[in-house]
Amino acid sequence: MQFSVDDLISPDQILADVLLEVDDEDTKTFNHGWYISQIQQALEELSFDTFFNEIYLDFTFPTDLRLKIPKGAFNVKKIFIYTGEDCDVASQTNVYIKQTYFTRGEGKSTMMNRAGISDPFISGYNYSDSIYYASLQNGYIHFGEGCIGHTMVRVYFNGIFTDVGAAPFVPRQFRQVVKTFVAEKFYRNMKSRKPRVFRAIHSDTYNMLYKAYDGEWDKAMQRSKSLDSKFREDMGEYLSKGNW
Amino acid sequence: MTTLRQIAGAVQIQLKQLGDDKQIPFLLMVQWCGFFINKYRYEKGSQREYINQGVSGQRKSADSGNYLAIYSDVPVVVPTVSVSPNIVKGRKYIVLPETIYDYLRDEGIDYISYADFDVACQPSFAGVRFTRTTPTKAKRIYMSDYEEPKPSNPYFFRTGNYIPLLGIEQVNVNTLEVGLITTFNPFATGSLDSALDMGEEGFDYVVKNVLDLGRFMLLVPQDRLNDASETKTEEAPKGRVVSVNQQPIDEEEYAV
Repeated sequence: MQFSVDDLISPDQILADVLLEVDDEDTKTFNHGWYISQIQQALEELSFDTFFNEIYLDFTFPTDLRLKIPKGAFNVKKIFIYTGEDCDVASQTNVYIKQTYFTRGEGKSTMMNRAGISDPFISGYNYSDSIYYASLQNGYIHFGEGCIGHTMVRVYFNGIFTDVGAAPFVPRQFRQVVKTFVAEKFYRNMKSRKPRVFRAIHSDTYNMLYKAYDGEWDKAMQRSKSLDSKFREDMGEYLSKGNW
Repeated sequence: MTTLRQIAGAVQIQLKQLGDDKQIPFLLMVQWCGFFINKYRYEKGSQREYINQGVSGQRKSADSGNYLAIYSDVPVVVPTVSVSPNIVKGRKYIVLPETIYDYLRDEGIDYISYADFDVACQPSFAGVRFTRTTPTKAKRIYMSDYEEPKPSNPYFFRTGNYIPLLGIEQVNVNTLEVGLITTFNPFATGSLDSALDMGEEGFDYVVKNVLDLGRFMLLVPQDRLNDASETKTEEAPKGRVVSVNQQPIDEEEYAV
């Protein structure tokens, strides 16, 4: 999903509306930090459900062939290795995923063995260290030995939008859904204190948020997944040529 | 503009008509007025408390600033030694500058704040506001990165007249602004002749209750003696009561 960093909405903008809606303008029912935490959690959930936050980061290629998956990343989409610097990429290549490949530098284990190594159930194959591959396990990216010689790694992934503890700025497209998310959490907490008073309003708010198709969560999903105009037009041009 | 002297004086005149040879001291009248003014103010304020529990879900007219007193520049004390009870070395606190009503969840403290260092043009109460907690509830807030006490999100709790502060240990805050729902002191300087610090709609409540107290006090001692002379009735029978329906038991009938 495309958005401008200049259009991000501060948490106070969200709270100005939410506090009025839940009748806690003096933040005496729940404290200010609690509300901020709920905004953060709304963005986390939106990140997981909509994949709206796409990030790439560059790292120095690890000498032990293991790179910790970047903080906040939950869906690695692309891995490139290259020589040169992050702002002056010399030669780059795509890295493919190989299942069950583990290494801590020297030595490795994998289901598919080199040809000639006996396994009664899995036959060997012609193995080459020049194939660029990696696997994702235990919070690490494990690179194959063929990747050695590259200086940098570029990882492209979906990430959680805001780090825990940081001020959670909200893309404008998600303003309404975040407001309702926080209100729903407010009423859910109040329901355990005064069930008869808050059960009905919590139910209404929950429905407003999660109702299929018309609910704000579904709307947010639709928004984030709709193709951007540029992408859509270019794809139309490309397909209409017919000479590919 | 109605003053405490006017109300106490009016009640004193009315009571004088009940017994012209009896006199209730004016200061006692003032004290009684103080009792009921405080009760009225407390109950008006307690509607705030009721509302803030989320029972009605709506702010009502009781959400009033009539009894709110703002104290600016209340000094923050950094104790260098512990003094039991309540003062702990290094734990910053303020002392309540005035007596407050003991509402649920310390609602007598409407707010404690200091100006946000980054936003100079805001009033203090719109800056950084302290959130109320208790020593036992505070453990939870330290579990959350967002809620833990810090200069931008500080907390207070109450131990008597002391208000210890959490979250400003590492910053230099010398004074705070405090908004309190204060009690009424009928003997404070100027209380007698300044406009009475309560809604005029509550004067009948004060007058009625002070009159009731006065009437009771003016009763002569004999009137207050409970000898039950007004409810005296005939003597109750002392003999054995036998039901008219009960037949005497013939003991011989059951003899074997």
